Amino acid sequence: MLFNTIQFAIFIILVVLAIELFKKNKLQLIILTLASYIFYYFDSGLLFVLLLFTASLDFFCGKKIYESKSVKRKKILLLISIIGSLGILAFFKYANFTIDIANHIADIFGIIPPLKFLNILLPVGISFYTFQSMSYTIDIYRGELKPADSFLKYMLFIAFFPQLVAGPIVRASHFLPQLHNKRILILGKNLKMGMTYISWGLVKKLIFADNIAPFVNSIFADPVGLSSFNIIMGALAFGIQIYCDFSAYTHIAIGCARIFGFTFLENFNKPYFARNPSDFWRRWHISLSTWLKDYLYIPLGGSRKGKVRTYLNLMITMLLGGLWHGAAWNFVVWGAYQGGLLAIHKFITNKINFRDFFGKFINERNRNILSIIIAQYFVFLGWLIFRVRDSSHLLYSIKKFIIVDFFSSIPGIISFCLQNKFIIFLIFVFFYLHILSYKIKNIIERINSLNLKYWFLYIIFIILLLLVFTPNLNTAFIYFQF
Amino acid sequence: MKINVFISFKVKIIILLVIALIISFFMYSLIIKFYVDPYLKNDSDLGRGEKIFEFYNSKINGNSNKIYYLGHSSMKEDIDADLIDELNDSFVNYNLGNPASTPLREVAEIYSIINSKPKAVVLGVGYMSFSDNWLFPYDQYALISKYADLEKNNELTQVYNETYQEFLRMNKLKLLIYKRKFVYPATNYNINLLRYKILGAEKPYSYKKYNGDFKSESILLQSNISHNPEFTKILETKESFNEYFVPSEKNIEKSAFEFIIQKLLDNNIKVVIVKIPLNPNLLEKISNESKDNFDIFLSEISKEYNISVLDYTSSYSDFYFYDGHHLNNDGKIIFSEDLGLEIIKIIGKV
Repeated sequence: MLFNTIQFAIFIILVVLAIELFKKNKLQLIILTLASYIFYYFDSGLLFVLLLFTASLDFFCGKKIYESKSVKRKKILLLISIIGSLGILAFFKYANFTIDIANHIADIFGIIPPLKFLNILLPVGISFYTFQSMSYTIDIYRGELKPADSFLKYMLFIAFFPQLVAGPIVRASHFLPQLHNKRILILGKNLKMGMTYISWGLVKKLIFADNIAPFVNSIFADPVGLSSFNIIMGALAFGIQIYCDFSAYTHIAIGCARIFGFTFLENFNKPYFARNPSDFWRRWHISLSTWLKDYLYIPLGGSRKGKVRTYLNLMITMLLGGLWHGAAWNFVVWGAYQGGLLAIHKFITNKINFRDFFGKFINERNRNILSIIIAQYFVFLGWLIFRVRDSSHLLYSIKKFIIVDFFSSIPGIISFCLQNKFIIFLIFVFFYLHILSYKIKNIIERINSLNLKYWFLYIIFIILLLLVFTPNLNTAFIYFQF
Repeated sequence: MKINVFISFKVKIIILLVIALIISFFMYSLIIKFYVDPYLKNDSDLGRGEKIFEFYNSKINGNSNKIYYLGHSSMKEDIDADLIDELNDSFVNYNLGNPASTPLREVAEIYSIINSKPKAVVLGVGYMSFSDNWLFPYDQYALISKYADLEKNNELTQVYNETYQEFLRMNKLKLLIYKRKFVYPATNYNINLLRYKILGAEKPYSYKKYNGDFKSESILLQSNISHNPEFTKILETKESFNEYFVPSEKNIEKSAFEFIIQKLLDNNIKVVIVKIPLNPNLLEKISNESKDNFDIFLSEISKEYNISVLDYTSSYSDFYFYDGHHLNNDGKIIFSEDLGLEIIKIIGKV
């Protein structure tokens, strides 16, 4: 069930009505939990059993870890929980990828016959809920969290429908305390805030991401032969598409949760204003990057075990982060690329103090602008790796992105721009809004704080925009596949 | 007595959301009615589909000596129905060609054609008519959905697959929403019109006359160029013309074509098939396999249903062509006379 459909609108209205109708907290929690599993059933059918299994296993393990006095027993229970959760994820997400690699190796050594691929479907949102569930048992093991006081609350934490399919990856320490024993109230102020978030998300998804998607698809379907300008525009457009698509989902999720009085943390913070790779990962998919930092990078030793080990830890963390996105080589390469960028950035900043070095030549404002441009050049180059799966297409695209041929094809550039006026207009509007949201902090809060009559006009304007500019085909969110 | 009406903030928000939805939907309807619909009707060739249905409906109670010429733009551009009228006053000829149309699209018109009781229908076909690679825009199916009436004309569901049915079954509300995709082309058109008015740029073409004309109005010849230089470029750069490939096996277009013939004959409407003229330079680049499959299919149809097939595929030299499958002004006159005389001979015998 996509957020951008009438079915979802009806679904959430029904859930809100049910919450209003039943006033007892326990009943309300049952309604939200049931609604979440029904929501998941619409997307994954019987695979929702896996979600139930992961939830049950981790709830049980979490409880036992907390109760156990023996460190060894705690470790064993944690191991069971991690193996159980990761085992399911590995099987459903990476089994065929592993078979593919094995077949390639077997082919090189002339071993036949090749292994058959398994006929398995990838359960929607499995990467998100697995990480969410794992963090719960790990936090209990570390003594940072008390277990959920009921299985019902835990089931809701794992499967709460706004964030179930594409995040943000919510931490139990943030969400469980919100499931207090008081009645869930649908308040006017939350409804207003929720609708503001949802409207902003829908604009990003339906107007920006969905209109830009066919343009990106047409460029990367067969990029060989295209000029640098086309490839750069494709990379730029994809960067906007994936950001609008993913952050839209987050905003709609935050908005839906807010209607019921729950808060989620922001998952993005103007990522295209990042000044270096580390800054980018503090702004992009924050719930994943902080998860990777807390549960992988720091346990690996972080930056505490020397420079070489730090670089290695960064590489391992980002490589696995890349693989988390999908079982395909381009995600592995993308992860390695991001790890490499972080390591190189760390290496350079260890050697050179940029503030002192450039301070002599340019002022701080211009230095910031320059660092944003350089950082974003590498971010958008990375998007090529993320988007283009065919290796020959990817190599060609990277070559054209790096070695530009603008001046030999100016008539081609003009005709390309004339053919894609609307997309180029959208790209400009996006960057204008991105700059605006950088200058005006908390733009959604600002809209929400508008006087009711102005907020009403804003809503009319947004609905009208959506009615006019939404493409006629509904497309799923990109991060659903992860 | 003062009545205190207290509305909670929550209820206020809900009421405002509902009102906002109604107001924006109303404003959207106005945009479609006063901005998009006029564009579709007058400034895009998409408007012709509706006009053709309106034409059939206006002829329901008319005389029965009508001859309809159906087909894609080759028929629309290449036939001068006024000129054919002058050849013989026993029949009134109507050019109902529709750009890019294929038999599958023409099936939607079949019941309207039958209800308007023509004497004969001339079906113009080229290689693209039976190709799987010639894509007719789905938009036209959506725009004619109010005429197709699949519920009433249940037989059409045998011809159209689910995708087509989805467009043809579009209700008024869905169509209203669907039309948003024309906001951008309408804006583009209006910007060009503004550029013409202010900067003296080239005037964008208005399809108003073309869409509502069923006689001799054409668009390609408006340019007054007898040969389109773009076509020469295409011929030089393009190795194969996949969109003209006719498969040997039966496909959805062939089935639709047979369905049309069957229905017309069942209703005592005479049918003549015309193989449209093609530029010899284009013909050279079309595979023999495709040509053979096309000829075999039409010859089988001719035998099975006992109908005449007039072959103009290679009747005219490059001199008479505007591009690959559209004649220029001279070609249009010659072809209209040649075809008109043949049609009168065939129909006159009946």
